[in-house]
Amino acid sequence: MGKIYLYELRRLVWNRVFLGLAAVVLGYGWVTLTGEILLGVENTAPFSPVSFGAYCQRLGPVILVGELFFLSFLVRGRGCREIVAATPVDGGRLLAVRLGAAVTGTLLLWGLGAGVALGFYAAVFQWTGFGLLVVPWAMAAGGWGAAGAAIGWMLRGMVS
Amino acid sequence: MGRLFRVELGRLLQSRVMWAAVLATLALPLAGYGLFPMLSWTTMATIYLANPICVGTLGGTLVFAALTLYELDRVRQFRMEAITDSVVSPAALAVARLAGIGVCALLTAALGFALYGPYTAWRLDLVFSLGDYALCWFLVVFPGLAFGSACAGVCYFVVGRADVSFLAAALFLLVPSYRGYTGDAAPWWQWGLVKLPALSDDFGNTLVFRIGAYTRLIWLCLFGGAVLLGLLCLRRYGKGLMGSFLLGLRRMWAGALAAVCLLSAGGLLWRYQPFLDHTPDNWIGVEEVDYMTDALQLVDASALVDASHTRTGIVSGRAVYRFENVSGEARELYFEMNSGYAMRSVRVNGERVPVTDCQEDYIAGRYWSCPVPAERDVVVELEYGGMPRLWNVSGGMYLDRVVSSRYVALDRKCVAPTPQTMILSENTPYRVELTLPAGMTPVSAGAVELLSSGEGTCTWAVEEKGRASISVYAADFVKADLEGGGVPIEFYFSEKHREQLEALDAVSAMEEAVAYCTAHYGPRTFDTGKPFKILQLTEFEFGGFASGNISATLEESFTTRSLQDREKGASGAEVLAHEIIHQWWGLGVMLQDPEDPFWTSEGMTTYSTYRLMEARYGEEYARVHYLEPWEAAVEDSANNFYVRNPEYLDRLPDLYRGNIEAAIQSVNWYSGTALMIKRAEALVGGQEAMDAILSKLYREGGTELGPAYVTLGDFLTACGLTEEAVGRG
Repeated sequence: MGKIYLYELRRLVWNRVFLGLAAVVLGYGWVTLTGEILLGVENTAPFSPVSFGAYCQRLGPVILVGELFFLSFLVRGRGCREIVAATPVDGGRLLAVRLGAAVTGTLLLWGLGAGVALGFYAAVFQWTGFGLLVVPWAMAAGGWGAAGAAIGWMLRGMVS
Repeated sequence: MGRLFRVELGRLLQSRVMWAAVLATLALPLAGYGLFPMLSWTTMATIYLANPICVGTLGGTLVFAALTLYELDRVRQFRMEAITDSVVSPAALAVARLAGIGVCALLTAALGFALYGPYTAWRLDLVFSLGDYALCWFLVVFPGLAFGSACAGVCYFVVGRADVSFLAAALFLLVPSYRGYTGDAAPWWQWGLVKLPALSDDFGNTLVFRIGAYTRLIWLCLFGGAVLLGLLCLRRYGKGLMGSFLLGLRRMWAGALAAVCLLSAGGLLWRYQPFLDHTPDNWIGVEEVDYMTDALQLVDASALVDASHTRTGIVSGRAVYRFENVSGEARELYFEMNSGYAMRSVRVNGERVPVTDCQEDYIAGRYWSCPVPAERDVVVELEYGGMPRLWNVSGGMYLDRVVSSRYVALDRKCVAPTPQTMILSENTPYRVELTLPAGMTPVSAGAVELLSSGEGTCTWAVEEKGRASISVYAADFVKADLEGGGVPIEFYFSEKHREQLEALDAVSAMEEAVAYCTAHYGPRTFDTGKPFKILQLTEFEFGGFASGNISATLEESFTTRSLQDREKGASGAEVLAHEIIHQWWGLGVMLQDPEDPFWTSEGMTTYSTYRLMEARYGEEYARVHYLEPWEAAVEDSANNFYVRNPEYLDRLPDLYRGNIEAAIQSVNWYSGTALMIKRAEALVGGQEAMDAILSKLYREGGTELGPAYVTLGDFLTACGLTEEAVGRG
């Protein structure tokens, strides 16, 4: 299943769409950092957990689009279902592996967004206390991830 | 190609999806009437025209981007590429589709123009302008929809996917629009919705639409080039992006060449734009060079200025200055004028001399220099001209220097070059003969007299004494003479509001402010022939101003909505009162302290405005609309991260640091200092005691910097208090 996981992951991230999404996340993240976040949210530092959490929440809708794109791969290829069903692979495990690849792709986008911010903090403020930012990052990624999963579940019938 | 276009257009006009997009776009402006007002200014044209147009354009751009992607992707979605590509060139089909959607965008704008016209005309009533209304739909809305379509088309040609193309187009639209409305971006970034900070009711919107048209031209070139390059990327023969691009390049090299030309043209238009100056980003930190010299003294000055070219907005002039060179040496003489002007020729004592452009823009001003000889009497003749530029930091928000058919605003840098020299005496004459479009009345701090009327123009004489520069504002002004404090007051306002102001409370508010300050602090004194002038100006001036014997306030202060809304707090008539009170604090005596940058006339004027409004509306009103907002602003500023940790502010790049510093300073200039004075009032024994102290300071001035100034130290000494006692320092 490891090979299938790596294949699915490669299929998701090694394409123009993911690269475009990554560019959008990087660009939008930079604009957000140098605009609203630079001033500090709620009078806290730009690199405080509050400000970083606000930054992650601003990235949420953009990364949600990427997550929905990844999840759409789970329901594509209806024409191949009979072929896949004929293989000895357990359907449930295959679905879990593909879901894992989609989650990994989404986390990569979240990681890129966080990376822009961490690089900004280190370069401009010489601040590297990144451990404090793990919780707000995880909360944003988890919240938007769950929302994306719910939306994807509701829209699963619309993608052929 | 024509036949293909007609077929596509006919198909689009029969498409339910197309009409759904048109209806959605036409419905979107309704949200701008109250649900999503994008603009905060409150002229009638902003509320009932600009806001709906903004929402409609932004939303419509997205709708037409989605429509374009739907139309372009239909062939691929139904797997018909093989058939259609064999019948017609994919590039030709794409062009025909984009052109058809462009016609639909024009149709949408025309329908919107007809649909919203009656309501807009009814709401705006006296201030409705058919020209401005038409420009809103056909310069703002229609190109927005067409460019949205073009942007989506380009993304689709390159990426080949409708979903990603829509996301890319949406982000490319929304990010510059967001930055534009926080004032951060130059107007040329806003390709979807042009820079529309507000719309003036009374004084025209020429500069808004000029900048808008220029922005549209830039993006017409850029999108034209991008579409042509995008067409080269259309997938052919199963090739990928690069393969299709190279194939397209071989077959359509003329299109590629045209694309390069268009993109270059757009880039050149962007780079050499004529509207904004080139002040450095870190303008707060820039140390202004002082070119003033006391070796030359201005004996008299005169200028012939032509500001009647309303189509181009260009000013031209010829100025003559007479100096006394008291140094006995050859000198370099500097002049300051607007960054958009050029010095065409300079003659000194009849001889043509070289002139040097210092090329240092700073707040829409630029210095020029020429050599003057050692002779005692020096006559300098200058010919100059150009289109006034705006300060780039304002990002095109405050369009306060303009020559148009309804409004002319020329500040001291725009009328004539200002010599950087001493002035011989307070009676040194300065006379400008200014040619304006007919129907306009100029207002200046000096005396104004009509000299002659010609075909479509009038020439006025504007005279001053003891000054090296003049500012002039001209529009369809009507003059009313007011009573207040024993000082002659002239109130100039737009002809459109003649009946309205006669029925409103505006005049009494102004008379009350003058009477209050006269009674509490002392009378303002003006030279004979220089009455106190109150001026209604365009919305695009920054919050009004007080200069010399002129107080100016924005036109929104005079709308019925503004003046009768008592819940608005410190706005409307109260802003007008604030500007008038500057005649006492700021012009009557200057509040300044080299050791305390936050001690300025703004704080004292804000405090005085609060006292006037407390007397007018009561203690509760004043507390809710003045004291509480001051306390909230000061507390918020004190908690600001950069205030508490200034070392991090120093680490920021200049571009970001300037904006943060300006915001911090503003809170301290206004609310912080006003609160400090309020605390001092309580400590000295109440309002009467404070009034006596302020009256003494106004009449006698301070001692630390001389009688023309009142420092913080002078104020505290007069109160018998320390900085610690009033919470300062």
